[in-house]
Amino acid sequence: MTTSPPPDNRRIPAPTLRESAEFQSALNQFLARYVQDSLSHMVAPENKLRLHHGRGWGGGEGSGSSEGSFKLSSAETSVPFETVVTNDVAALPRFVAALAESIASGMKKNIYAAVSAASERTGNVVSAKSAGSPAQVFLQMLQTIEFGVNSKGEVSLPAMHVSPEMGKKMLDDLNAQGPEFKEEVERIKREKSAEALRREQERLDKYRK
Amino acid sequence: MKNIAICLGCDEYSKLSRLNGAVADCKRVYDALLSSGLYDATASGLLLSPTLQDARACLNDVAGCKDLGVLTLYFAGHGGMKSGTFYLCFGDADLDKLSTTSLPIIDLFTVVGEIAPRQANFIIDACQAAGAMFDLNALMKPEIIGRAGSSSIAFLAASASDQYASETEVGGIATTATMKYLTGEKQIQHTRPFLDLVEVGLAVSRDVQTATPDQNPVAWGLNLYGDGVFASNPHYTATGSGPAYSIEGIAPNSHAGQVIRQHTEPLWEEYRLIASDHNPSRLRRTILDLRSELGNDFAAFIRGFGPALASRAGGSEDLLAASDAIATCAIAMLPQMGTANTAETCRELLKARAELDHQTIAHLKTALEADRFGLLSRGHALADLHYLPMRVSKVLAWLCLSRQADAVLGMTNASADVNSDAVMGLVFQYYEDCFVSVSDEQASWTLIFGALAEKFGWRERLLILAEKLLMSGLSVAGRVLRPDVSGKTAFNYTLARAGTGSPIGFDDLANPTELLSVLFLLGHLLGLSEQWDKSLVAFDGLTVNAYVPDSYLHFGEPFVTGGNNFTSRLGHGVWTVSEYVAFYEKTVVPAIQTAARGLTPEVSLVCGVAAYIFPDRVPYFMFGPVR
Repeated sequence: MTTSPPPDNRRIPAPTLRESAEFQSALNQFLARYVQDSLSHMVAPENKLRLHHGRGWGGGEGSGSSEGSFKLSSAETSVPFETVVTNDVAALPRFVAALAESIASGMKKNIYAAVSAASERTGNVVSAKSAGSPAQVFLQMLQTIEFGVNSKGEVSLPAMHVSPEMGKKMLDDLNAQGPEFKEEVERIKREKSAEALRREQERLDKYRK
Repeated sequence: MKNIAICLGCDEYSKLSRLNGAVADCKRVYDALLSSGLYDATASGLLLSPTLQDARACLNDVAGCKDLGVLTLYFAGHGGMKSGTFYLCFGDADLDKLSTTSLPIIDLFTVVGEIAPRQANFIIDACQAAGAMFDLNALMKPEIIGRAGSSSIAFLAASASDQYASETEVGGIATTATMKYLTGEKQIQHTRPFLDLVEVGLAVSRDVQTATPDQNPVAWGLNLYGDGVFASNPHYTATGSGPAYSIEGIAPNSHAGQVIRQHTEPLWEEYRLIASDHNPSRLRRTILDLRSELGNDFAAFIRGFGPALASRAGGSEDLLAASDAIATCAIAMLPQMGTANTAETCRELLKARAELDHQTIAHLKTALEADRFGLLSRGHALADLHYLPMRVSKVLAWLCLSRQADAVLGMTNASADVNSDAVMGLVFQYYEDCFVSVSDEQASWTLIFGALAEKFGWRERLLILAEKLLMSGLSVAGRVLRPDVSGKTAFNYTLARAGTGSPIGFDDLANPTELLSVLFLLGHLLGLSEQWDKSLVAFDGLTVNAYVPDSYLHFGEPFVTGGNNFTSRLGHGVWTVSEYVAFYEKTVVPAIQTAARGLTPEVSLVCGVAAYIFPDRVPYFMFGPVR
C-alpha cells in the first residue's frame, strides 16, 4: 500500500484532510486491485489464500497443504511537487502503474522462488544441460510433473513460465520435432491424464458415502 | 450576582524546595483583581503558603456560595504530575504521596460543578502546570468537564508538562506577564469593559515565549454565556454606540441560560473537535440548534462562544480554521441581523476575523516566499491533483473577501494590502497551472474573485483565471464534480480526467452546473464572449444554473428553502455567451434585486462569506449589473 511522508507542522489553507485521506485510501484500493490483476495469470483465484495473521502457513506432512512463510514485498516511487503544481493528472495513472509493476515484480520473484524451493524439495527438477535440447527438456518436464484435476473434474494441463527468448527457442525446437516426438508427448499426456483422474477419484472416494 | 477571586500562593514547603516569588505573585494578582471592583472583597480569599487542609477549607467556603457570577482561582507554587493527574502542592505536600498530600486539579472542576458560576477562570503558575493542559482533550471528556457543570471555563497554565515555571526576582514570568495586562501596562483591546482570560492567556503565551522560549504557557477556554470575564479592562473606552454591556451576560438561570445548559455537551464537543477536525458544516449545525430557542439572546451567546472557538481553532492544521470559525458564527446570525445587538455583535466578529485574516495573509506570504510549494498538502501529494485547484480558488476568494471586509468595516490597512497583493502575486506566479475546473464549488469562489478583482486592481489576473478555468472546463466537456463529494469520488474523477477508465457516474457530476454560469458572466464582463462562443459546442446539452434565494438573509442556512433555480440548457435555447447573459439579465437579475433589497454592506459581506464557507451557493448579488 502507498504511504505518505509524515506530515510536517506546516499549516496550509483548506488542507481538506478528511477528503485527502479518502482519496489516498481509494488510491490504495485501486493499486491493490491493479497488482492483483497483474498477477491473476500466475495464480488461479481459487488457489489464492488470504491470511490475516501469523508469519507463515502450512499444516505439515499429510495435511495436503503447501507450506511457506510470508515475504515482505515493498516498492518505492516518488511524485515530484512540480507534477502537482502543474496539475499533471497523467501522473496519477503513471504513479499507479509504476508502483504496481514494481510491487508485482517483487511478488512474482517470490512466487517463482516458492515454486523453485518446492520443486527442489520434491526432486521435480529437470536439467537443460543434461537433457540436451529444449524439446527434450519439455519432454522430461512432462514426464516428471503430475497433472492436476480442477473442481469440475477436468484434467488441468501444466502451464510453462519462460522468458520470451526461451519460449521462442523451445517452440522452434518443438515444431522441428518429427511425428515420433509428438506421439510420445500425446502418450505421456494420455497416461498422466488417466493417472490424474484415477488419483482424483481415489481422493474423492475417501469421503464417507 | 457575586464574583469571587481565590488566590493561593505557596513559598514555604516542609518537604519540597522553598520558592521565592509565589506568595508575592499571589498578592499582586489578588490586589489587581480586587482593586478593579469586579470581585467581592468579603467573599474573595487570599491564602499564603497554606496547607492542603487550609486550601480545602477555603474551597469548601466557596462551595457554599450561591448565584455566583465569576469564580477565579489563582495558584502559584509547586505542581506535580503523577499517573496522568496534575496536583497543586501546598505547604505540607509530599512528592512521594502526591495523591494524599496535594490537591488534584480535577477537584477544582468538581467545586465549580457544585456552585455552577457563570464563568470559572483557572490560572496555574506552577512547575508542570501545563500537565493539566497536557490533558486538554482528557479534560474535555464529558465525565470530566461535566464535573464543572455548564459553566464557561477559561484556563491559563504557565508552562509545559516537562518545564518549570521560571521565577525572576519579581516573581513568576507568566504571572509578571499577566500583571502587565491587568494593570494596563499593556493593552489587548479597548472595546469591551472586561478582559477575557483566554485573550489574556494568548497574549501572555506570546510574551513569555518571546522572552523565554523554553517556557510555553497555554490558554484555552469556552464562553457559553456571552463575553468571557476575568478582570476589568483598564483600556476600555465606552463609545456610546455599542451594545449595553453588562457583567451578567446571559445568566445561567435565565431561560437562555437553561437552553445553553441543555446544549453544553455538543458545544464542548465542538470545541474539542475543532482543532483537529475543522468542519464548518458541523459547527453550523451545532450552533443553529440553539438559535431558535435563544431568540434575541443568540447574539450574546455567539459573542462569547465565537472568539473562544476561534482561539481553539487557531491550533488547527488548517490555516483558515480560526477565520472560518468566526465566519460561521457570523453567518448563523444572518436571519437576525435586523436587530441592533446582533448587527453590532456581527460587526465585532467580522472585525476580529479581519484582523485574524491580516495576520494569516502575512503568515502565508512568508510561507510562500520561503517555499514555492507552500500551498501543497505534504501528507497527500497526489490528492492535491484534485484539491490544490480547489484550494487555490478558495484562497483567491478569501483574499478578495479580506480586502472587501477591510473596506466595509473601515479597517483598510496599507501593510495588509501590500501583503495580500504579494500573496495574490505569488499564487499567480506559482500556481497558475492549477487554475483548473474540477468542482462546482469553484463557482462560488470564482464569482467572489470575479466580482471584486477589478475593485482591488486584479482585473488582469481575473482574465488569466477565467480563461484557464474555461479551457480546462472544455477538456472535460464542462463536467465538474458536484459539491461535497467524497475523496473516493475525487480520486475516480482525477483518473477520468487523466483519460483512464474510471467509475464516475452522472450522479457525481454537477448537473446543473453553476460554474459555467459564473464563467459565462465573467467572459462577458471581460469581453471574451465571441472568442468563447466558438468553443461552446463542447458543452452541448449541459444545464447551467443560477440559484437565487427569496432573501439573502437566509443565505447561510444548510438548506435554503426559498428562492428559485434559473436553469437554461446549452444547445436548447442558449448557444452563445451573450444569449446566456441575456437570459440571466432578463430572469435572474430581477430575482437578485428583490432578494438583495435593503442589504447593508455588512450583511452583504456576511452573505459573500457564507458562499465562501459553504460553496454550494453562489452570491450572484455581488456581481452587479452585467451589461
